[in-house]
Amino acid sequence: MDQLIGLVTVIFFGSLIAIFWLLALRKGAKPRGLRRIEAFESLPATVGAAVETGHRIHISLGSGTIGEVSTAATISGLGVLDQVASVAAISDRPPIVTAADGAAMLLAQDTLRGVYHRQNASEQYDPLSAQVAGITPLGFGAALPGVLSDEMVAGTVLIGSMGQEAVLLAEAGRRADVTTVAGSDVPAAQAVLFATADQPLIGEDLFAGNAYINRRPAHLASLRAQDWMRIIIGGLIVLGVLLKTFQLLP
Amino acid sequence: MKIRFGNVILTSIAIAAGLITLGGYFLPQLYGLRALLMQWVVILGAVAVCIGALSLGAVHLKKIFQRGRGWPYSLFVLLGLLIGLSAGLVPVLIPVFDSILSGTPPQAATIGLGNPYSQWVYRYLQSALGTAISGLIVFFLVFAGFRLLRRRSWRITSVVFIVVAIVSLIGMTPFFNLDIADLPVTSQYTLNAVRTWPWIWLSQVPAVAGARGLLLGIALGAIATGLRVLLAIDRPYGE
Repeated sequence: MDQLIGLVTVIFFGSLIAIFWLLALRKGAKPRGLRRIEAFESLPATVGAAVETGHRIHISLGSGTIGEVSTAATISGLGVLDQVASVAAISDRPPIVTAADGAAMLLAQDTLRGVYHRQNASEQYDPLSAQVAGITPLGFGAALPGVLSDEMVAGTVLIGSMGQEAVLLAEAGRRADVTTVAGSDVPAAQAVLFATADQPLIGEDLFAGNAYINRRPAHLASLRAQDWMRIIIGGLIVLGVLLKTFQLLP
Repeated sequence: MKIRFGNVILTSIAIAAGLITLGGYFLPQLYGLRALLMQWVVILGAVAVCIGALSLGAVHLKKIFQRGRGWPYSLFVLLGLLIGLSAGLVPVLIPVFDSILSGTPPQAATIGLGNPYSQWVYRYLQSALGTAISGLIVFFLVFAGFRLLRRRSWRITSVVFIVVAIVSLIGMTPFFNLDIADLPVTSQYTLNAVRTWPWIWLSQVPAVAGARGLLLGIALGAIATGLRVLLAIDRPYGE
C-alpha cells in the first residue's frame, strides 16, 4: 500500500511539473511571479561585486555525496554553480568550487568545463578550480576557512548537504568579511545557518536556485508544482488531524 | 539548437538508470536490476573517493610548489593523507614482503574495518581532531546567537530564535533538576509542571511541527530535482 501511495505521488508530482511546463511554453504565457528569497535576489550583486573587484566567488557543494540521500541537494548546487560560473568564469580570478566527495567534484569539474566551453574559453579552464577540500564532513568544514582566506574570496555560496559544521564556513566568512549565501538540506544545519549566514536559505529554498537565477520555464514549472504539492499535502495533513480529532478515522 | 549524439546517449543512459532505480522501489520485477545498478554506484563511489583523495593531494602539492598563501598547512594535509594511506596499505604489504623474504605463499591480510593501523589512525588522529572541531562549533554557535540580534535588527524571526534557544537551554540545565522529594505532592506536581512545561511544549509541539514542515519542503524539493533529472531538464552529467 505504501509503495502504491509513493508511486501515485511521484506520478502526480511529475505530471504537475509537466503540465505547468507546457502551460509556461504556450504562446503569450505570462511568467509567474516568485516569492521573495533574499539570498537569491542578492546573489547576482555579490557575484558582480566579486568580478569587479578582482576577487573570487567560492561555491561549496557541501559534504554530500552522489548516490545517497544528499544527491538532490548536490545537484541543486551544481545548477547554481553553472549559473554563477557563467558570470564569473572569464574574470581574472575564476570561481573556486569545493566538495567533500570525488563524484561531486567530478560533476563540478564537468559543469565548469561546460561553462568555459560555451564561452569559447576552454583554455582558461583549470581542473583544480573544483577540488575536494576534505573527505569527512568535519574535515571538510575545517578546510573551508582556509579556502576563504587563501583564495581571495569575496563571496561564498553553500548549496548542498552539510551538517552543523556549516557554522565553520559562515564564521570564516564573517571574519573575512565575505558575503555568505548558504543553505543545506539538513534541518539542524539550517538552524545554524539562520544564525550565522548573511543570507540563509530555509527549507526548500535550497532547491529554488535554478528557477530564481535562470528563470527557465521548466524550472519555474517545477517550483510551481512544488508549491502546489506543499499546499495539497498540508491540506491532507489538516484533514487527517480533523478526522482523527473527531474520531472519524479508525 | 545543435544536438550532439554523445549528449543524446548520455541523457538516455541517465534517464534509463533513473527510471529503473525509481521503478525498483515500486515494481518487484525491477528489484534485481535496481540492486545491480546500486552495486555499480557503490563501486563507482569508491573509485570517486580515490579520485577525490588524489585531487586533495594535487591541490595541496600545487600550493606548496607555488608557495601559495598558507602553504605550510598544506604540508600537514599531505602528511595526514600519507599516514591514512599508509595505514591502509601496511597490512597488505607486510604479508607480501614476508612471503618474498621467506619464499612461502602470502598470508591473508587484515584489511577494512579490522585493520589495526587504520583503527589507530581513526582513534588517535581523526576522532580526536573531529572532537576538537565539534567543541569549537559550540562556541561559534553561542557567539552567533548573540550577534544575530545585532545583525538582523530585531526581526521577529530573530527574536523567536533567541527566545526559543534561551528557553531550551534553561530547560536542559541541571539547575532545574532540583531535589523536591521533601515537598508536598501538590507542590511537587506544580513545580514539575512549571519547570518542564515550556521546554517540553517547545520541543514537542512547535519544534516538531517546524522540523516536519522543513523536512516536507526538503523532500518535495529533492523529488522535484530528481524528476527534473529524469525528464532531462537538469543534466548534471555533461553538456
